[in-house]
Amino acid sequence: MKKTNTLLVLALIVGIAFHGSAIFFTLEYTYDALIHLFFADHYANSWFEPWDFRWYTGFTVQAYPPLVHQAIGLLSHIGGLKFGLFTVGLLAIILFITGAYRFGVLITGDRKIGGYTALLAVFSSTFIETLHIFGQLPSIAALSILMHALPEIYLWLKTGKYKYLLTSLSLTAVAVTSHHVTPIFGMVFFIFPLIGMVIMDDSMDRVKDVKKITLKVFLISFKKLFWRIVTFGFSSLFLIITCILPYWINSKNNPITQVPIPHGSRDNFLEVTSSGLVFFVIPWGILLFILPYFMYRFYSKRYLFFGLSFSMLTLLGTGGTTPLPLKLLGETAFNILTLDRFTLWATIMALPIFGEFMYRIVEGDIKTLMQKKLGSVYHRIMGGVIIGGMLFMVIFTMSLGYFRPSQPQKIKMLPIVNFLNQDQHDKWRYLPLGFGDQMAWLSAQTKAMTVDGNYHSARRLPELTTRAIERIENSKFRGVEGIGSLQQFLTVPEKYNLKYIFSNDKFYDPILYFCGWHRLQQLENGIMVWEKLNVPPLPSIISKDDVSTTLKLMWGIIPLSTVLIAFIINIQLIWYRVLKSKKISPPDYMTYKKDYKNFPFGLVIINHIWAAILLLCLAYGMYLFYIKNTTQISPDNVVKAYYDALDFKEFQRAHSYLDPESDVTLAQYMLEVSVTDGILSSYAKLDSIGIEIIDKKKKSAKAKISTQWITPLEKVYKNYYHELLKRNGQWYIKPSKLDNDIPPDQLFVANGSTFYTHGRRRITTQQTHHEDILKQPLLEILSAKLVQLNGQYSIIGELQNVDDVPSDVVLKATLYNDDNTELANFNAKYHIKHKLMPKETTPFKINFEGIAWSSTKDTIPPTFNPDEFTPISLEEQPTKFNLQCAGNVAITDLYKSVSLQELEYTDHGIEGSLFNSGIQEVTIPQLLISYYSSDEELIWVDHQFLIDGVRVQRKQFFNYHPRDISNIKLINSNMENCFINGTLNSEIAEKINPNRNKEHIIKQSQPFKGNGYDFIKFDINSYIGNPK
Amino acid sequence: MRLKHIFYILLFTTSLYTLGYKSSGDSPTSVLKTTKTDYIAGDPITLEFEANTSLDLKLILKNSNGTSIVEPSKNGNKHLFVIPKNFTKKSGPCYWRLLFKGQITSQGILNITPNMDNPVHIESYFGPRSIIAGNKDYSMLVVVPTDLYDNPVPKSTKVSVKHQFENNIQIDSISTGNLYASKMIFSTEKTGRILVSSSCENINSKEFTSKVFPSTAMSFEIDYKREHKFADGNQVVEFSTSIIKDKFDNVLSNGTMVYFIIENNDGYQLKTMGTTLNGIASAKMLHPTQKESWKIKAYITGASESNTLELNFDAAIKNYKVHISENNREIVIGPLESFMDQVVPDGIPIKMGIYDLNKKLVDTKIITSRKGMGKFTLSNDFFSHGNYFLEIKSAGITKKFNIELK
Repeated sequence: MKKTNTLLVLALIVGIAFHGSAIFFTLEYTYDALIHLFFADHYANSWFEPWDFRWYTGFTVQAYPPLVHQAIGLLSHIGGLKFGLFTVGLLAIILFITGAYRFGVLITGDRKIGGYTALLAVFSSTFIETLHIFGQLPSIAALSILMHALPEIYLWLKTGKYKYLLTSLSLTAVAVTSHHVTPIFGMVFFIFPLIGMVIMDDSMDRVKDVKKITLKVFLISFKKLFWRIVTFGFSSLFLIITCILPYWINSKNNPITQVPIPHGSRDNFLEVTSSGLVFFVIPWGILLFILPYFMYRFYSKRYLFFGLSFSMLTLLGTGGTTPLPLKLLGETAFNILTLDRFTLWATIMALPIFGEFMYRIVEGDIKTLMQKKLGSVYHRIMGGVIIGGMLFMVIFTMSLGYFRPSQPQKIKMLPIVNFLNQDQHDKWRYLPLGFGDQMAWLSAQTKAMTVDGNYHSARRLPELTTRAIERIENSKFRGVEGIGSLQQFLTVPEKYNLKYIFSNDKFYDPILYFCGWHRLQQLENGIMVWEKLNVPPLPSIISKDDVSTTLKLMWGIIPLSTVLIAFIINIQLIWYRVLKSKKISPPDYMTYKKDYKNFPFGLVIINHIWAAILLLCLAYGMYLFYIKNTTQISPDNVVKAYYDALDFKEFQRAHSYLDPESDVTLAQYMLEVSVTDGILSSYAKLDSIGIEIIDKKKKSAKAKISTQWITPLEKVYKNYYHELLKRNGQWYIKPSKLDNDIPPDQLFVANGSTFYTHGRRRITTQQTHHEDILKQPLLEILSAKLVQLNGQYSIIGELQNVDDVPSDVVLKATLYNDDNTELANFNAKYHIKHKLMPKETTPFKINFEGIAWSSTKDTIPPTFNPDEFTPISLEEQPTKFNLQCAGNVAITDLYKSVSLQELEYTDHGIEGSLFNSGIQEVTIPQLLISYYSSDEELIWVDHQFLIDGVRVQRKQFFNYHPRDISNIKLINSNMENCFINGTLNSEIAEKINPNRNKEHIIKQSQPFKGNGYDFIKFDINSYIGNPK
Repeated sequence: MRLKHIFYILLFTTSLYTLGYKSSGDSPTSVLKTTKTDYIAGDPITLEFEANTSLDLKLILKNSNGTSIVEPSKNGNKHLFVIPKNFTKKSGPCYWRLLFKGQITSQGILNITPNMDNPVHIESYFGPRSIIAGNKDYSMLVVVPTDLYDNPVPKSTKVSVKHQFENNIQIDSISTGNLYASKMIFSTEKTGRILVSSSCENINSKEFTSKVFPSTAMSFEIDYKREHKFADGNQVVEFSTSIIKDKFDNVLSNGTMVYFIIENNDGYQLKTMGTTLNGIASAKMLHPTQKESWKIKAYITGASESNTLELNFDAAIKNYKVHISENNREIVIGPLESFMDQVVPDGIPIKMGIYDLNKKLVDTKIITSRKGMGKFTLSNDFFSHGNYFLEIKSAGITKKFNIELK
């Protein structure tokens, strides 16, 4: 009878204590855990119904193997979803550690080394990263089960006893139902080498000497074991197919046709060092230093096939660093798979060998060798260095989530959930912005639906699948595709019944405002709720893709059954093993224990050289990092650092780069910075910065900085000029001059009308009474035309709020051809003032936007441009249009106190200034420019956002370049299909303003001789970032 | 010939079959005993038939709500059909058909009239909720008086409609037709609130309201207010309208947008705007920085416009000095002095165009004055040695220099 394996027990205790307590602080902040929680919530509420309406306007959960989700869902009935999550997390940890132990024993045939392997597995950085940073529970569970299955498979192949076939298949089934990719690739990368090892062992049994194993001997053994291999192969293939049959059917019916989403693991790790860190350096960690040892061991005869598999995994894990993975996998697989899992498998595969290495260095032949050749002190130091290195990687990996959080701050969901339950707000769809993966947690807590989602393989809307974005929610990180997608949802929200937006990121505020949304309220957790008027509620019946009841039952029953069956089959063996109640002979693989002696000293030297090379590379990398990031070592660096500090609003740091002799104190600098508001200073992300150092002298230089900023509205290019100085070996920036303008007074008084509406006057859960429904304000379309400019169709026109109350305007245009077939429809986006005071007019333009890159042939622009416009491709020439205009009472965003103060036509455009005569700071002023022909007809509408805001009682200069519209083509100016709130526009015009003075519009415009027009008119739309 | 034969055979068998079928059935002899056909909604109704007990009779009922089948309760020869309440409560014709083995044996109509004994309910709608003054626009009151069971009252039931405006209360009597009564309440000439209610059979509806908004604005006057007449680019001039009214002397709704279009010396149309408060809209402009004469006209687009107001600004800064340093690389402008020889308030823009000898623009620099002074530095790093032509422009005064940068 054998002793209890103390190392394994130690590994379990330490592992559970360490990981078990850490998951409470990490798991919720990982990328994936909350997605699994959402799926679990689905199963907790409707176990057998695979359709979930809450994401992507409906999707099927059969798009992901269900075991882990169902387990969490089942446990949630005991203590809630998070209880389920953490319980499954703990189970996964235990399974992983014991799995590593069994895998270690299997490979080395030594229980002690198995114990070492288990202990190392606890601290392996790859496991820590997968669990605590990525949160890939199903992947860990499947991998652990696979490791448990490997000894059983070995025994089946080796002994041919059917009980082992049964145990191995039962475990394979569990692995399949928890994660699909792991067992499939596990077959290739783990089981094939295992088969090779079995054949080697069998050959060994026959010839009794490793050296005598020739190809012939090997083939004879292969022939002997062939039918066992085939039996296992086909049975497991059968399991892979049947256990998650609904998944395969769903994948076939809804193939992933979407544009590949960029993933860091496909980057060139030398170029994108952050990806290299996360997907290569961290998972490998300390293992990287003893790579020669791994190669030495894996390419010994017994492990030869593991060696090949290990090399292949290592290579594939390098992503886009070399072109090889792309060539090996092919383009499709390369773009769908995340390559970090190859590194994960490689590092897991290396664990037993690492365990063996540690065993040999702690108490084996390497220890003796090193003590003999290099002295016992050196041996201890080496041991200390390795342990220290491991601990460093553990702490470094664990702290990554703390110092570089992958998620926004934890959001309290309760106020949002309450808001959605209130006043039937869940009758509309909502969209979270800037929530990170926490959006899944919000979805899990509410029945309300969103157009977004967090499992991109299940996306259905072409607006989403044609773009390489994971979520709209974080679209700002996804450049042009992201903002483009978001804009489509914001401009035509009624298509998706999207009425509420929860914004956790100020960045999106301007785009929301200019798309016609308004702020409703700030919830107590700081989330701003934005609302869009005139959006119909969701219909009570929504379509879904149904699947047959058989598939539903299979999906609901098989996964947990596999666990039960595996449990029943395997528990007996485990029982015997643990309680030692029955003497069992040691498994076959234990007989191949190797005697560790005579470690070649050459390898020690090789490994030392390798480690030295690695350290050199590391040092060089650090040096490069230092040079690149030492802020004031060169003019380039100081400029970069300055703009970086500005971008992240670290003004104290920015100030430290200013010339210390320029007498600008930090307080003064903060004052100067804090008074500038605008799209750049408040809503922009620095996208790229080009620094051109002109005229570099010893002590001074001049820099032209061309910056590109991503704003939610447009891409902004701006050039700055700086003078740079060198003082005491450090470069500084000379502060630039400020506007000295001061208003004449200290105190300003403003009068005006403010408005308030309440939804219902009495608190009731009944439908709103008809007398509590506000009358829709009357609007009048003054002119509307279908025009074509440079191949693109637009509807332009002017409209007026002819009612006596302020109005919100929603304008929807539809294009028809001669046969009255509908060709396209779209809403007014930026080119309109969405909120109008009584009698206020606005020009408008509706561009017909297609779904960007809907044909995959179109090349996706590599850089970001939020203003990227995809004109719709119309099959036929549109000749008619229909304009549906809806007014709803508006009570916010009615600031109209910006005037056009100065104007001058110059060679480089129209120069002018805006004066803010009110008492609110205008963050983003927008100019709407109407172009009129010589016969005083509106022919074109253009817009310009001003980069800087207009402060209270101050001026802001602008420069506008008039467009060349000489080739504009008027297609139709018939207004008979213009409707206001469903009523004919002409009827309203006749009733409200029968004697309209049509001269007024042109009297308010400027004569301007341009290319194709004779008058222009400026209208001002002002966005206030922080209304007071 | 053959075809004909077949046809005759077919015809013969069919007629035989029909005859046989008819003769084989029992001919139902049911007699309606209930004679009353007119009922008031809510009254219990039982139809009694006398027929052979063994017969399996059924009664089909049909009214505007739908169709139903009633089974009888039998008492000797009597078949009693109790009409369900949802049929007896509904006014209007209620058709019945007596069925035996799928055949209609007899049929009839019950006339159910609304129950006017109990208090009626009034369902009323009023809209739109706002109308325009001037006797043309109207809101419409629709009254649907119903009885206890939600049956519309009989045709031509009197409904009295009351509406109040200021001190006037008007009562009109209308009568129902097509199940409802309606009345158009025309707008008044004065703005305000019209309250409406209705009553029928001594039951009163709740109160409704429609607001009368002012009609199209009439032309109006504008005026200005400023602290002084000098173009110092700092003070603010405020334009305001007279109280804008419609043709019925109503003050325009608060928030009505008025555009002030300002034509300056150079013919550019500057623009400021304001919304009305108690009929007066006011808007602000900054004083220009140079001598100007403005022509101002205000518009309520499409409806009305104001007189044209002329406003002149005298130059506040008559002249300024430019001091150029020895190496010509420092250009100091100022002091800029205003109309009382005071130092101008900070922020007067000073623009300097730097041209090379071929009059090609090299650079334009704009600064704003501080303590009446402005300073341009043409540093060595940016402007190499050579001859340049400078054009300095501030407060409408342009000064030109040829300099040689050393």
